Amino acid sequence: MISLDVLAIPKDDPIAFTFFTGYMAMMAASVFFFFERGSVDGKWKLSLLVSGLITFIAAVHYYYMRDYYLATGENPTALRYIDWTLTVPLMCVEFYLLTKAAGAKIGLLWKLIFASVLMLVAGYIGEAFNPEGGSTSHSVMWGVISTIGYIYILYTAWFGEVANLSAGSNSEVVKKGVRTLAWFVLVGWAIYPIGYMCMPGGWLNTGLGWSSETVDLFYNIADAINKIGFGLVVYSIAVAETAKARA
Amino acid sequence: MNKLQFIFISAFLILLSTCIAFLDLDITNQLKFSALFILLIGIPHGAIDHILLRKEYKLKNSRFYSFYLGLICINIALWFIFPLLSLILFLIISAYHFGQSQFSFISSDLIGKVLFMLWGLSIILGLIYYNLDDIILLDKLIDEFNISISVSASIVLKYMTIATSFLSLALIWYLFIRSKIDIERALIESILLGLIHFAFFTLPIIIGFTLYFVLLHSLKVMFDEYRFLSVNMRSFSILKFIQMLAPFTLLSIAGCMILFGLTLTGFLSISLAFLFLMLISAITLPHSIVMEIFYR
Repeated sequence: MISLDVLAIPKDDPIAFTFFTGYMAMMAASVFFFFERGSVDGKWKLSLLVSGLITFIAAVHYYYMRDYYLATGENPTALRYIDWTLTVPLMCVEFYLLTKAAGAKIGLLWKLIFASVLMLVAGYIGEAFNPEGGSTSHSVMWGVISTIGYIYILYTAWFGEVANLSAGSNSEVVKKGVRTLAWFVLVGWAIYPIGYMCMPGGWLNTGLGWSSETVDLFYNIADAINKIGFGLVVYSIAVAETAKARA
Repeated sequence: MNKLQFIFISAFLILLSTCIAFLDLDITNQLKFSALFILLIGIPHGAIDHILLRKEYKLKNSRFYSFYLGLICINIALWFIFPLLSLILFLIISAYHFGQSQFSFISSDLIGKVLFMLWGLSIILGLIYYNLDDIILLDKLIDEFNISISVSASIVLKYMTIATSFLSLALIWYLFIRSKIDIERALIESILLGLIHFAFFTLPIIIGFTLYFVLLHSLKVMFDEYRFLSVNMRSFSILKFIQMLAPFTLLSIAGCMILFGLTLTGFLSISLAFLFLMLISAITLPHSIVMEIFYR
């Protein structure tokens, strides 16, 4: 007789629920983006591939994070940061790909990747290597470094190179799409510094008693919206531009 | 989002990530930290009221100064006779003024004016409610007041903060539905209102207020003034703008220092905090009237 391990999801555990739904939603989005690659023009295939990779990488990590959470009940910090360290730079790559036709240089790509890696590595060091009980100075120092990386990306998307290139593009669809992605960076990515400040030693933790457990739910929801939403914006641009080119 | 709003958000994020280090800063040290920004940016934003009003009405100097200084004197007299009433009036006038500068891009019709007032009240009430302990402490420094805040009063304050905030958001989105503002503007204003409340909630009272007052209010008004003057004056430049701001800025700073000195030495028998409130309020009234005309 084969006995199957059945994962039991507690009825009153929304975090476990969202780990499951997050994993499936990301996987479904990946399948969608990979299959839809075939329906867009050549120059947009890479963008859709990247969108699919973002959600696929996240899906795999959510699969493991789900198990980790169910087994330990703890925030899977390391897995989250591994996921973000891979997917966030890929989201920055999308900015480059969208503005490439408008003249984006490879330097922009590297600057964005550097800023995103700085943001995440500093955040990880601040969160995962915090001394037992949480050191405020450690949290503050790495939090500031991480925030600088985030602010650079935000500036680039709203006022800097990405914004200028998009404004100079002759496609209204690209302009609107890049602007929508800039909104994702402003609103969607804000959950990450908030979550950082909730870990032991972080200000929201020591000042208000918020713990990282309370934001796991919001991380899961925000991650799904950010990654899938990001990909859908890129997809809508690709489809619109393909239709325009074929018209 | 414009660059000023971006600077506010960035400054807020940096302050938020570091504020644990200065959460317990007392009022005096908070004032020392904020004083430079308020002196360099807060005071100058009102230092060319005479130029703005003259551009609109072609007033003679004597008439302008009679009006401006007259209002200041009346206001100061009111502070001595009815201090609590003056404080309430000051808060109401400030609320309208803050709201007007924030939403200067919409027309000053009835809806606009209601939004100005609600928005300004939302942030002022929020500032007071989130920092009640510090307000009570500040009140102890002011012998002229004796405000006691009961539990029921703090509950009323809480619900007024919530109500004004929600009504402000409702009006912002009503303006979007009526196509008076686009969706980006509605979104950013909604986010900013939330961020201002979050800043007032998390940061020490003076630092939180300075962040809003300097970046979102004073700098924004100065940009509006600069743009107006660059259109209406020939060969206008930033240097010329600074030269215009300088005289009354320096005069105001000098005047404040003299008055504070007289108070500290006991020549003026009023508390320092009362003097500070009175001076800010005295200048706010005529300044708000000038800005009402300017934005119209």
